[in-house]
Amino acid sequence: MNELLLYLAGSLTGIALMVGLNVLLFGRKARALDTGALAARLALDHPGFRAGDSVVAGDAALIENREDGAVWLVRAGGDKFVTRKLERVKRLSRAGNALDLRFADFTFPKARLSFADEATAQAWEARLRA
Amino acid sequence: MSFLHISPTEWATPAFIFLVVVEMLAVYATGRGAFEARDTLASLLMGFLSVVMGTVYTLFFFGFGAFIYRYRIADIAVTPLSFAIAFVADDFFYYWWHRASHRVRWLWADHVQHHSSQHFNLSTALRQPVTGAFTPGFAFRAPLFLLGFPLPLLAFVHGLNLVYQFWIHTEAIGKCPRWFEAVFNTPSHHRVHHATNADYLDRNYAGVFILWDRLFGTFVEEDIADPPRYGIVKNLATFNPLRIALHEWWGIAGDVARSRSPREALGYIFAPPGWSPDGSRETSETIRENWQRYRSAQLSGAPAE
Repeated sequence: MNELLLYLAGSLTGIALMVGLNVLLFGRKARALDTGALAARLALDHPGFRAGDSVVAGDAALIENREDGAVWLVRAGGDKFVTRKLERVKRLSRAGNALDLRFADFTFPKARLSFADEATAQAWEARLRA
Repeated sequence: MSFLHISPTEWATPAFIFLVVVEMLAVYATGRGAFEARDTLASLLMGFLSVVMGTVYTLFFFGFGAFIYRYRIADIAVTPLSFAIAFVADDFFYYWWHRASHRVRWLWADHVQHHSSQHFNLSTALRQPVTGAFTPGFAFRAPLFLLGFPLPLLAFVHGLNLVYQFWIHTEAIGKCPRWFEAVFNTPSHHRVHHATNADYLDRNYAGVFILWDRLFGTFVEEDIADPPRYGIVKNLATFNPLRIALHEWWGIAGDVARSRSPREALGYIFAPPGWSPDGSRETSETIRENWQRYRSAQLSGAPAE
């Protein structure tokens, strides 16, 4: 029993030290949301993607595909991006300049988009509801 | 051979840790590769959990193996030759297990956990699935039990196979010597395997010998003009190990619950990842076809349909 506890404690301490070294060397990077870079990434992942209107809203961004009019949501996940085509929004609500989205997605259940002003939030809300 | 009772992966663990630290320092010094703290934490925690859950898998392995072994057609003694043959044969069946793990959603639900990181470094090697006991993966080596290879020998060579695969999870090593790249699985070949680029999807399944991929038509060379983008087609928006471990199982459960017929339900479990009855989702094949169509249209100057 003691041996098992020692093993568990040793393993978790080792993990903590390795992650600590990781933070020390590389910091805790959050990828900056540059719509040009986002469009380039989406074009690499999806044939024919052509960036249209886009907006950075807090730690996420919306970007339109001019090919089919679909809107993509992009969020920085650490130093990488996570993208979702907004086709199955379970719930959409707005409070002032913020849009709250909920999805039937086990690892991406919700997103809050904080726009620069209420008018922009309203415009994108209308677009997403269309 | 008295050493067969030891676990190669357990013995190699200190070296794994040491090499992850060395790689971090190398990436810091050269900028070749990348680490992200939460990603590394998720990978290491999953490695830890997989060791805990691995005890259940080991019970299945030995239970199933002992049962099949009773019907063996020969008694193979442990000699240097049988050791070598067992190592190569185990790698052959590893190839088929790995290939099935990308082509059957039930198996993918477990294996996808290993592919879920958008990074490719030695900590990714330790991001091991924790739900292996809920798949029939151990059955892939039934022929080896039936042939009469002793269980401890098979467990040992399989452990060696996994130890070999640790070092190929890195961007810090470019290409190995040509003769080595021709025969063995290497970081270059395995970068392709972990990539979501259309041309790289479902390729390079090898464990140790890349020869299996060359032989069975699944080999693709890494192209410097098409750098790998790691992860899965629909990348996860979480670093939570439990969500990583369960996400595809959750997806299967939801799809099966919404199925309109037993045939649909079976499709969601046994068809390739991305399969759907109406073809509205993307599989590796449709992604590749869409890109090929797009490229052809680009070359001919016509708009892609």
